[in-house]
Parts: sequence; C-alpha cells; structure tokens
Amino acid sequence: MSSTLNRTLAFLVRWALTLIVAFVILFPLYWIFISSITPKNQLFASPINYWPSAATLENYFYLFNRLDIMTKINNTLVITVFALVISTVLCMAAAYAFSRFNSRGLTIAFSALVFSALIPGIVTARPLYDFMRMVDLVDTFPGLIVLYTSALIPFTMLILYNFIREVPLSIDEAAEVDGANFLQKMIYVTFPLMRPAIATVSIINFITCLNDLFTPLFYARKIEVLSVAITTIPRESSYQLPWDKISTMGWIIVFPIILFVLAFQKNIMEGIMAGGVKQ
Amino acid sequence: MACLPIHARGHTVMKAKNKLLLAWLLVVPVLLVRGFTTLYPVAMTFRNSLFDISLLRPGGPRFVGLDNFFRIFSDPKLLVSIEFTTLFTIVSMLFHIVFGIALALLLNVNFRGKRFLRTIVLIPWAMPMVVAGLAARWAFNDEYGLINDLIRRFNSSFHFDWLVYADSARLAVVAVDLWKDVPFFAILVLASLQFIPGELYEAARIDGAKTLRIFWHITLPMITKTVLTISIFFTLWRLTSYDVVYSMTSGGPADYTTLLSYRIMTEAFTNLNLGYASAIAVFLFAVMVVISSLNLFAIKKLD
Repeated sequence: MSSTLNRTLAFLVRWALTLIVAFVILFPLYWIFISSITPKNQLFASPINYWPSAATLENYFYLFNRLDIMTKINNTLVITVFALVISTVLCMAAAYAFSRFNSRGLTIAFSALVFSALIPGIVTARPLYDFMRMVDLVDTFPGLIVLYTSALIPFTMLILYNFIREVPLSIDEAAEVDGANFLQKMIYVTFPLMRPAIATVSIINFITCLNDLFTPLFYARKIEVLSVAITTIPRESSYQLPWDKISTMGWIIVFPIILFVLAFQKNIMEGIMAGGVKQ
Repeated sequence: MACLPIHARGHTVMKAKNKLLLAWLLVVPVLLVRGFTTLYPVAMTFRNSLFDISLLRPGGPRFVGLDNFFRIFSDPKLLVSIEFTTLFTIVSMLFHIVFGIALALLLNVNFRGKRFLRTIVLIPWAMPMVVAGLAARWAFNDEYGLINDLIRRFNSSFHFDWLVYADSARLAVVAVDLWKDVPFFAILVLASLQFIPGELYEAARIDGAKTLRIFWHITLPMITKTVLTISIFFTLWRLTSYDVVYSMTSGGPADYTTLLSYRIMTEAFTNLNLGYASAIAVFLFAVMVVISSLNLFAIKKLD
C-alpha cells in the first residue's frame, strides 16, 4: 500500500516540478512571441492578452524592410562562419602537435592557451581597441573575425586535444610504415577520425558566436550583428522601450536558436559536459 | 666507415629537432592570435593603471604611481559598484548552487519527461543575454510587464515599479542572471551525477536509507568537488558580467546596479579615463585571482 502511495507521490512531485521548470523557462519566451504578433493597440494594454484576438506581421515587415535585418543576419553569419572555420583549422593543427609531441615548452603553451579563457574582455578591451584601431581593424570584418576566432580558441583547443589524444598512436604508426610523412599522417589519417569532435565543437561555438555582445559592441560601429542590432532599435520616446519592435527582433533571434537546440540537443549536452567536467 | 653510425645518430637527432620545430610551427598561429588579443592588452592594462591618461585632458600620459588605485577607494560611485558586484556575485552564486543542484537532480531522474526537460533547459543557455535582458526590462515594467501581470492574476491591486528602486532592481538583475545561467550550471552538475555508480544507491536502499539521507550522504559528497570546480568559473563570470546590466538597467537606478565591469567600460569608453579604468580592471583581476586561489585551495583540501 505505502509503496504505491510513495510511487504516486514521486510521480506527482516529478511532474509538478517539470511543469514549474517548463513554465519558468518557456512562458517568458511565449510572451515574447505573442508580443511580436499582437497589434499595437492591444500590446500596450493591461492586463496582458495572452491570446490576442488579432495577429499582425507588421512588426516583422518593419524590421525587414525599414531596419534591414537581412544585412544584420548576413553580417552575423559571415563573421560566425569564418571564425568557426579558422578557429577549427588552427586548433586542429595545434591539437595534433600538442598530442603527438612532448616538450616542456609545448606543455606550458597548452596550459597558457586554455587558461587564457579566464582573462575577461573588460581587462583587455581598451588597449586591444587602441591596438586594433592602430592597425585599422576596428569596424572591419577581418578585425571582428580575428576577435571572434580568438574567443573560440581555448574551448576548441581543449575539446579537440582531449579527443585527438584518444586516437590511438598505432594508427599513426601504421601510416608511417606505409611511408606517410608527418603532414600526410595528420591530414589523411588523424583529421578524418575527428569528425564527431569537430561537429560538437562547431555546434557549441556557433551558439557562442551568436551570443557574443561585447565584441561587436565595442569593436564595431557600422557592422551590426544581431545581438547589437536589438539594442539599437530606434525609440519613439526616450523613456519607453519600443517593446513591439524589440519583442519581434528578440523572436527573430530566439526562434532559430530554439530550432537549433531541438535539432542538436544531444550534441550540445555532450559538448557542454566534455568541456565542463574534467574529473 | 666508422663515421657512419655517428652520422646516422646525428641524423635522428636532427630529425627529432626538425619534428619539434614542425610541432611549434603548427602551434604558433594559435599562440599569436591569443597572445595579441589577451597577453599584450593585459600587459598594457597593467602598465596604464600606473598612469593618468585622460583623452579629454590636453597633454600626454603622466606617471602617477598607485594614485589610481587609491582613488578607487575614495570614489563613491566605485564603492557602490564594488558593493553591488559583491552582493550580486554572492547571492547569485548561492542560488546557482541550490537551484542548480536541485535542477540537476530532476534532470537525472529517469521518467517520460526527461528528454523534454533536457531540451528546454538548453534554451536559456543558448540565447543571447541581451535578448533576455531587454525582455526583462519590459517584463519588470509596472504597467505592461509580464511579472506584475502574473502577480495581478492573484492580487489585482498590485502595483510596483521594480527597476525604479535600488533593492528591487538589484533583485531583478539577480533573477534574470539566474534564469539565464542556472540551467547551464545544472547541466554541468548533471554530468557529475551520471558518474555516481548505480550500485551505491541500490546498496543504500537495501540498507533502508531514506531519499534525503541518500542525497546527504552519497550524492552530495560525490558531487562536491565538481560543484566547487564549476563554481570557480561561474563566480568569475558573475564578477565580470556585463551584458545583463547593459541591456536590462544600464546601471540604474542612479548607479545602484552598476557592476564593476560596467563601470570599467564607462570609464574607458565614455569618460575616457584610461588610466583609472585600467586600475579598476587590475583591481578586479586581482580579486578574481584571489577568489580562484581560495576555491582551488578548498578543492585541494577535499582530496
């Protein structure tokens, strides 16, 4: 008797907690979405109508036609894709070297690279900005790509290195017997085995790039990415937030991210856990 | 003939050296990129902290020794920042640990909602803080906001403008920080929960241990080290949080939610007091080093 009661209780507690968590996470997102399609006269009203009697795409037309969101999506994608590819290529080469060669210098270099992730952007911002301006890289695509790439390196390095170490040396040696040189071994033998790690790293890095506000905010002005664009939506009055436009822009950013998370839930979990826990 | 082996040995040494050189060649690009974007600017920040550099004042940089650092502790704006940054970090971290472990336990339960839960907790982590922050700016609005609207469903006469008063604005900033990052903390704790062998639980159950006792005597000790380790990172991220305050309160009301990082960026890019901004940054950096060392020390003690 008491064991069935216990089980029913556990069942109820579990689902009650699940519902609470789901509500806390999803309801604000639903509110953002519903705000974006609510006509203006209903939006600025109290109480909030969570099921508006009419829907409009006016805000979306405004953002795409008047604020040219397409360009901002393009900017974001160009910077992200270049940073992803460059950081992955550079880190693969370095991870291979770190895993296949032993020297004190290399060990120190590796730790320095990974721990440099802890240096916050606010400590480096002003001198780095002045340096970037000196070499004419502020507010340019190459400049932003270098900064984004740099931000991705520590995590990418750690994950790829941990993975490449697991690739057995015997495969390398077999290739060596077949007459492959260092570069051939690296490019034709080791790298193809790394596809799963590269997929995971790219998925996490993609999210990292989308979420970055600090870099594009301080190192660019004319080149706007999505995270900055949502902060520069023109206001009609100085004290009130243009919530109609901001909720729409918010949904344009969040909706693809939700789809992305649904598609790659497993890889993301693996990636976070691989990077986060080193027992 | 005799010199052949020597020649051969020299050849292998040469080869090993060449290989090491090749290894360094593969590593150098990454080192250069990171060096120029972290090492060089950090060094410059340390140097600048000893100078009076104001771009608004005529004349070049002037060496002032530690004056910038003394100024930190007599600048009322900065004391407010230090106070809020400390409060924000401590309160947020306490709730991160409590809610994070609780959520991780829920994520670890095998039931039909598991996959659904594990998917939705990724959404706050995956979306930009600036979207959450701007939405929160509106959500905490007295008249049209989501929070008060939900409260008014239960208490219809409720009116309160959260972001206008210091204490409630600070509370709201912590709440948004928790909403965005507790799920991430929980996922990392979940990873360590999965390392606990199932036999441990079974043995305890056979011995008749109750759920709460099992949690206290088996689960908690097994995850303490991981929780402390990830707490280092989460504490450092709290100390350097920028996006949440930038998008949600712009440091207001007055300067009550101005986190140190927000103050540093204002001094460096708006007030153009480069020397002073650098000194605050160095101060913050030192605090980060001290806190991480203490935490590492605690972890070592555990072993």
